Amino acid sequence: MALFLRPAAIVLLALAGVMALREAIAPLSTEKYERAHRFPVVLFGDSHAGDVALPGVPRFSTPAQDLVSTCFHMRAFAAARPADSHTRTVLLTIWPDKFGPIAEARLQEWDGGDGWVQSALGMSAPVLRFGDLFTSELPLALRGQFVLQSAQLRRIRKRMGYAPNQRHVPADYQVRLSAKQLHEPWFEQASVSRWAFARILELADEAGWNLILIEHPLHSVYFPQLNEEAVADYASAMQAADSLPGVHYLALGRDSLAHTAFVDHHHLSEEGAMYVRGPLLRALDAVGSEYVLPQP
Amino acid sequence: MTRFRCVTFAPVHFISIAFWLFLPTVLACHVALSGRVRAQNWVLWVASCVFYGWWDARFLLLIAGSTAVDYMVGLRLGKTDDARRRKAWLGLSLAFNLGALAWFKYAGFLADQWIAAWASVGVHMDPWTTRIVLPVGISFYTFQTLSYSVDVYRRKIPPCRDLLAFATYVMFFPQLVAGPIERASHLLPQIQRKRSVTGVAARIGWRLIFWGVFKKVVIADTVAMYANEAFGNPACTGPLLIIGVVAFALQIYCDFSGYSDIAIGTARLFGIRLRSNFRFPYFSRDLGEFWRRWHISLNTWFRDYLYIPLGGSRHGKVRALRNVAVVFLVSGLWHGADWKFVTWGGVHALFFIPLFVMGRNRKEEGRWRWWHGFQALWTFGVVCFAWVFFRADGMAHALEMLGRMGRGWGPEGWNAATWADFSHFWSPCKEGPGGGMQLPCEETIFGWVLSLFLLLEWVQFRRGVRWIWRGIWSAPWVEALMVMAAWIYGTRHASQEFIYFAF
Repeated sequence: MALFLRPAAIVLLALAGVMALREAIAPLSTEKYERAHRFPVVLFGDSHAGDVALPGVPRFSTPAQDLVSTCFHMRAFAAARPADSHTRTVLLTIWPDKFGPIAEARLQEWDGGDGWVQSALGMSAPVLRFGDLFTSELPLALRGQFVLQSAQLRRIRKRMGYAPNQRHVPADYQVRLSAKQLHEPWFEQASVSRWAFARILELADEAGWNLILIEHPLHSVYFPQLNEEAVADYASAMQAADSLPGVHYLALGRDSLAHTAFVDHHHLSEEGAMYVRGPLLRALDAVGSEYVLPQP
Repeated sequence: MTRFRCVTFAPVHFISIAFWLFLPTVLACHVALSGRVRAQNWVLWVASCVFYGWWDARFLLLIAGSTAVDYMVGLRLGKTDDARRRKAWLGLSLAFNLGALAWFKYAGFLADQWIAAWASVGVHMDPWTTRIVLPVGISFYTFQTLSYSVDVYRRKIPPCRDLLAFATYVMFFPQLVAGPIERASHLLPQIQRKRSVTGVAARIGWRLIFWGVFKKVVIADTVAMYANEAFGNPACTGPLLIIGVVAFALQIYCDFSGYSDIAIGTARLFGIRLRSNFRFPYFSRDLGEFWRRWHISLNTWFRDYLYIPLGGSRHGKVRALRNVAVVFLVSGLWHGADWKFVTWGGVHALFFIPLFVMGRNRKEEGRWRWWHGFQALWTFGVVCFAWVFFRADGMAHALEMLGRMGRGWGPEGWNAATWADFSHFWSPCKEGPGGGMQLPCEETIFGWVLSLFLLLEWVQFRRGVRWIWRGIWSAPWVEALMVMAAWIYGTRHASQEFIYFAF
């Protein structure tokens, strides 16, 4: 009894306590989503969301955030929709690495050892649900992490402003991608990321949002290194998404920009962010968004 | 310069899912074989091999070698009364164990000093690179096996004639990698006799495990973020550095004593009592008391196997002073092959020796009076000063940090904004009413948790460990709260390796 049952009961009691506490603080995050519904445009994604130069747009993003977490953030946002929601357009930053070997390995393995579980997945704790353990399409390791991470007593972070980045890479900038990105047809292997992307498209359709997929310009050292088959698969998936009603793919990834537009091979300096803003505002206009760029 | 890169590998980590599957499994096997000591010892030995060889099974051979040599030496010592032969057999044990320790832990350090010495007289030797993997726990189990050979040599204990029991004594997994360092006279008889686990023992064992996990995950790993910031950020000055050093003092205490609690608690579940390793050292009134309360198993080892053989205090004050200094310096070196550890030991020796000269090092601890608070504060300050050397990246870093401590005491170095920058690992601070900085909720909650922990430590120190776990504190929900906190904080930040795994 004291050797096995008592400690088991204590752990179960702790689990119940954690879940109760979590439910108690969940409204604090829900409130942020409810407030975001007052805005016509809301932004989701990873660190690239920080390079979107649209002031006054609520953004729910974390560096290195995976597509599964993004999907759950969007699900939580949809669930918090009040009757008088102003949000008609949702922006999502996307690029090939969201389906890349590193992103997929993080989602499929228990712990990649790079701290991503704590730094990125853990930041999504408020939107991870105990019930996600039963999402049978997802790897068991990831579902286990959902359960563990969902115990965190965090509040969701919402940012509003855009902080311009003045730095840029040198003219002779080089970067070497991982061997897997070079040689493997990783898009085909990215089952979890593709599952999440498909759910995001479904969610946008169900919620009646215009979904704009923003692919930022990527440094010229990036695309030539990638596995051609994987890139072709990615492009075809994006085109397929673009053909869906209400979905718009802003394909700027291969646009040729000077090195001064980049902070590294996939993050933008202020110059790069300003370059993206034009097409993005036009896309917002095209979908009839009420977003108005605040005057400086 | 030569680069001997010492890399540790990790056994099953106490704070891991693997351990929480491993422990009940081993426990169930142990319970199923209740009453059959030999079979239970097989379970413990195999479990210990799995535990230690989890990441890298190569070093099981080293422990097997150490086990075989000391077992054989013990048997030989038991068979002969010839003084020269006995010395030779003991010499073999010392040579094997200390030789392994010297190679894995100190070869790189000695080679670096050798090359640096030649370089100072203008002879530049070609650097060569090698890679020595430091087997985790080598300093602990080496001392444990050595104590067996010495005790058999001194005829304090009879030689063990059961190889399985002896191997289990050397490898007993709860204390294998970071102690407490057990003596054969205490642990071996427990392994050899029939063991039973009462309900009370099981409750105490689990409570110690949960308390240890709480100390490690909630306190040590969280204050580690402040310590890492202070020791890693060259912009930190004065008060922030002091806070960082105090944070490290708390971190290393909760990390190491947490490990010891988990080890002692785990052993209790198998019907084995390990020796206490910590007794609230930061409430000590002087350094003598501190060293009777800190890492007790190592310090008593040094007393019995180094200080007393050197002559102890039997040959006059001067010789005794030399022996004390040797013990402190060797204690520093035991932690690692680096001058910073030697300096850490040296600082303790420097502050301990005056007490020793005045005969106050063995003063009875007695009743606590209010003015003892000042003495405890002074002692804690000295200990923290020494921790700077222990935690810094090297001597130069430690001295540079001590220099920086004198700066930044004005309003420019100590205000809400610098604190917000220092504790950036929490959510951003907000502007509170009246324009002042408001700490994030998470940081405030942690402040309360830390205060409660310190209060519990104080009450245990004053009223005794048993007192605190009576009445309402013995209720299961108290332990559930500890597990809850560990879960919440354990997923909040990356778990840090136990500090003493590196030794």
